[in-house]
Amino acid sequence: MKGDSVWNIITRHLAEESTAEEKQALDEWTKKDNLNQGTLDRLREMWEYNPVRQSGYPKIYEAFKTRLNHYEKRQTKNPFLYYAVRVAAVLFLLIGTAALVNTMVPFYNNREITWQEITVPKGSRTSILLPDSSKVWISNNSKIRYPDKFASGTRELELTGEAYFEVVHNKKKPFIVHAGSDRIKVLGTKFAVSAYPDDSVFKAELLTGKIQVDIHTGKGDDSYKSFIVKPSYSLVYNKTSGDITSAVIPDGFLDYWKNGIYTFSNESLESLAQKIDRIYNVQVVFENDYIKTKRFSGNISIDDNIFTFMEAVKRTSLVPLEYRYENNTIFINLKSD
Amino acid sequence: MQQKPKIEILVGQISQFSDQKAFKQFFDLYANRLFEFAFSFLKSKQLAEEAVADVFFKVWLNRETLPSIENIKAYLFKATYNTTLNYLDEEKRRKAIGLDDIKVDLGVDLICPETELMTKELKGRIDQAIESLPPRCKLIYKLAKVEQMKYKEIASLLDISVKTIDHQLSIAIKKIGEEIREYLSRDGNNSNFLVLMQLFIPLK
Repeated sequence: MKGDSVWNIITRHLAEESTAEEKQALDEWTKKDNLNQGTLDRLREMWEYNPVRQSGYPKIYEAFKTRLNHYEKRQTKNPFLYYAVRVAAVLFLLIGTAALVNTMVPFYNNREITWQEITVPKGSRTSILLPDSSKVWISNNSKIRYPDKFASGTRELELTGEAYFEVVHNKKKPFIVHAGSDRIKVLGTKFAVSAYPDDSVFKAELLTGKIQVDIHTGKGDDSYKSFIVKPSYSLVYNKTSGDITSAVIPDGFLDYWKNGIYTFSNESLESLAQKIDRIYNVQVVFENDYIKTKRFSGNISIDDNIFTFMEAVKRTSLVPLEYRYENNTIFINLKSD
Repeated sequence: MQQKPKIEILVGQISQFSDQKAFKQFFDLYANRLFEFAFSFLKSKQLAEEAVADVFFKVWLNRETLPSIENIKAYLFKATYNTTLNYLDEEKRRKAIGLDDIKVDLGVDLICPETELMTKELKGRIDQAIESLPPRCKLIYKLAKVEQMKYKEIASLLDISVKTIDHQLSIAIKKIGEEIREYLSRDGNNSNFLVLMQLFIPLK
């Protein structure tokens, strides 16, 4: 037995971890004495006795189902709704074109221009190439209308929702994004616009180059306040209060615009809440201030949804969290047990 | 062990066809065991249920990658262990990782039978011996015996060395074995008892 206690060898034997040598030693040991044999027999019987356990925790499956339902509700695009949106978009296109072409007549030399309309449903994103080779990444729940060619002296298009633009430089043809009654004029640059009609804020974020944001003041059709945005700054116009503010764009948002992924490291949940708002268009309310300070690292992807993200936060959080979803708002609280 | 081919079929059904029935069967195979394991650390029924539900939710979301997981059982236990630790606050977490303040419910009735070999008295002695094991030892014993995990699997699950597993487990077996031996020898079966004990005491 070479200094090893026999118990150790028996243990390895039961756990099927023993070597051939040990097996032999154990064999010799049991043959020596009935007491040894009896002890081993009983130990083996005990070890091998493992009755099949019945499933007795229906609550676990319920809890799993709840998560799944929650998730699927967000994930599945209602096919009817999706179809309805498309039909509505086409109708809008038919009715809208006449009016629009009328108002835009000065920009176009002929009436042969047809308008393209791209609608991106919730939970997805796409990118398109404009006729001048500028590239647009269209976010979640957004729509873009653009002509099949930029015939006149400007490049103009309409945006509802959010998009990121990489505009090909062309001094002679300014590029203009119409977002509701506001607009952004550029020559050639990289910038993002968030202009969801339901949102209280209109936002333009500039990466490089120069943009001019014209905020419609509401006094007359042609009265605008113009702002120049500096690179890596954003301009936020609060439609309710009328406030206009400027702030630095957080790092990591280039990836978000292009790939729909926002990468963060050691970021407080409070700060992440703003990103969640930005990416999923969902407000976050903290019901406990302590949680705000908890820090996380990881990715937020537009292709996931807020529940996947919240589940990940919940799972990795050192403090047990719980959250609930009501009216497009996530409420986070400490877990009450 | 005999479940092995069945699990592969289930995994195939789940990963390829998103078969919810198969997933439920898969769930039933592991949920209880994972719950008991999670409960050892969380000591709250509700939290343990939540933790296990989290694990299965994650598995479902990543069901396509299931076939690439070499050891499903080890993976599920590890995922449960990690999820469980995340549920704990820092102090409790430290204790749980040290495994020195956990409550392991072995479900003794399930662990030792009463048979021809095992009289009621012997079973009682064994039950008591198992119950009195230190928590870490108990947990390792349970994983090795009930979950039939290999030393290596337990070591990587709990982030401790194979040597520790070997040592802890033999503490348990020694304790139980000595009870059995004492019980048997008391019945007059012990003519060679003293000699033998000397033989098997470690030499150094």
